[in-house]
Amino acid sequence: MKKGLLIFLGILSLSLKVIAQENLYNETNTRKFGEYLLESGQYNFAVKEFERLNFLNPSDSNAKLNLMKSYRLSGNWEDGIRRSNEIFEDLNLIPRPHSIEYSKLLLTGRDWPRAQHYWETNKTLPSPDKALLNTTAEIFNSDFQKALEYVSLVNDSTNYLAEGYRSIIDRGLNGKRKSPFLAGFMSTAIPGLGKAYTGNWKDGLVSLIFTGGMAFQAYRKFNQFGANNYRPWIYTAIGTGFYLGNIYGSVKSAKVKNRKRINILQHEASDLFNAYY
Amino acid sequence: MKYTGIVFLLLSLLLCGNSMAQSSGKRTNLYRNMLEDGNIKKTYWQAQNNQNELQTAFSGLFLFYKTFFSSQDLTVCTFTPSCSEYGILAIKSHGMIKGGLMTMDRLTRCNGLSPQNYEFDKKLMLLKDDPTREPLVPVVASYK
Repeated sequence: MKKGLLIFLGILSLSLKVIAQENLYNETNTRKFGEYLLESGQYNFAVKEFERLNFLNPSDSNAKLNLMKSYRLSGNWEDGIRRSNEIFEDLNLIPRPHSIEYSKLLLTGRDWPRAQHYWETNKTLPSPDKALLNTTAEIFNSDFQKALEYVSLVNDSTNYLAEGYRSIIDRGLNGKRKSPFLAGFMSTAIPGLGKAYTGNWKDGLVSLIFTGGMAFQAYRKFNQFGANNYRPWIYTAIGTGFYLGNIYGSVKSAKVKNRKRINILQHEASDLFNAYY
Repeated sequence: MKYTGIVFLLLSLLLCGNSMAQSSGKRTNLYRNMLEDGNIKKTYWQAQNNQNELQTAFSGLFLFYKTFFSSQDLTVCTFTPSCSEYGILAIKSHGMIKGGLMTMDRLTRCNGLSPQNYEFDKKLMLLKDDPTREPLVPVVASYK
């Protein structure tokens, strides 16, 4: 009798132990672990956890938001856009934080027409948000005129993002530009002069030495061997290559100078955007 | 007698040296083949996946230059990719005329006088100048 009781108690205690064991993969633990992974910068693993959470509870709106964020931060924004289209019935009706996150995915992919179409059709984003997102897209598309049109739709003078964008757009529209045509023309006249005009006078000097040196050598060889010899033509061909390359390089140098000026403004815009959203 | 002693001493030292060298053989093996023997075959991905005859021809010229000229020299180009790699990449991505002009321009820029104009590759300690990539400012932060 005693023996039977002991066996019964033993089995009972074992069963209780098994029942009391925690399931590590339940919804609560998955959420906790996913949030930990997201906070600790392990975005690829966070994607898997939030995918599991979305599978366990498809109505969990916060899990979907974190899933989109994990996709974006892990660098897989294309997958993030694809999955967003799959997990939401209608992207135009998703809550504002989700719309902002989806917009961030579209902005990361620099798909401006798609992003702007989304903001046009979205029904949950307030108008100032739509205007600011459109302004952001136009600034990064280097179209400051259109960006000005969009930012003028925001009338709130306390909105620091709109105010910051106005300053950036003003500098983008009125800043000094280098003319690629003028740089090319100057280098056509005197090799290297176009590069000097764009501020790269050292490269310009090297262009002048290369082109001038080849021209001088070609001239010498023509005088020495005449036009029926191959030697002067070799120098002429190389010199012509350097000359044409110098014109191309001057045009490119002016364009790069302009791009860098705009890139500085875009960096500033990126800082403001990421502080605001 | 004196010379016999000296010869005996030298022979003893030689034997001691040999036995010591044998005992430290394991350690010396560690340092063998540290330097390249020159027979390492390099592959250049830039010359692969040619789409047409022109690219194949230029890839051939590139490989010829890399095998017989560039291999005899140290790394002297200030950029990454190097000027020859830039040339083949430019021709492959922009065509012969524009790619050729880009290469001629690059040759004049390869002087190390204007490092402030380029990004710096800390691993290779060279300036970055890729013909296939235009630097873009990311819109959204990658940490938030």
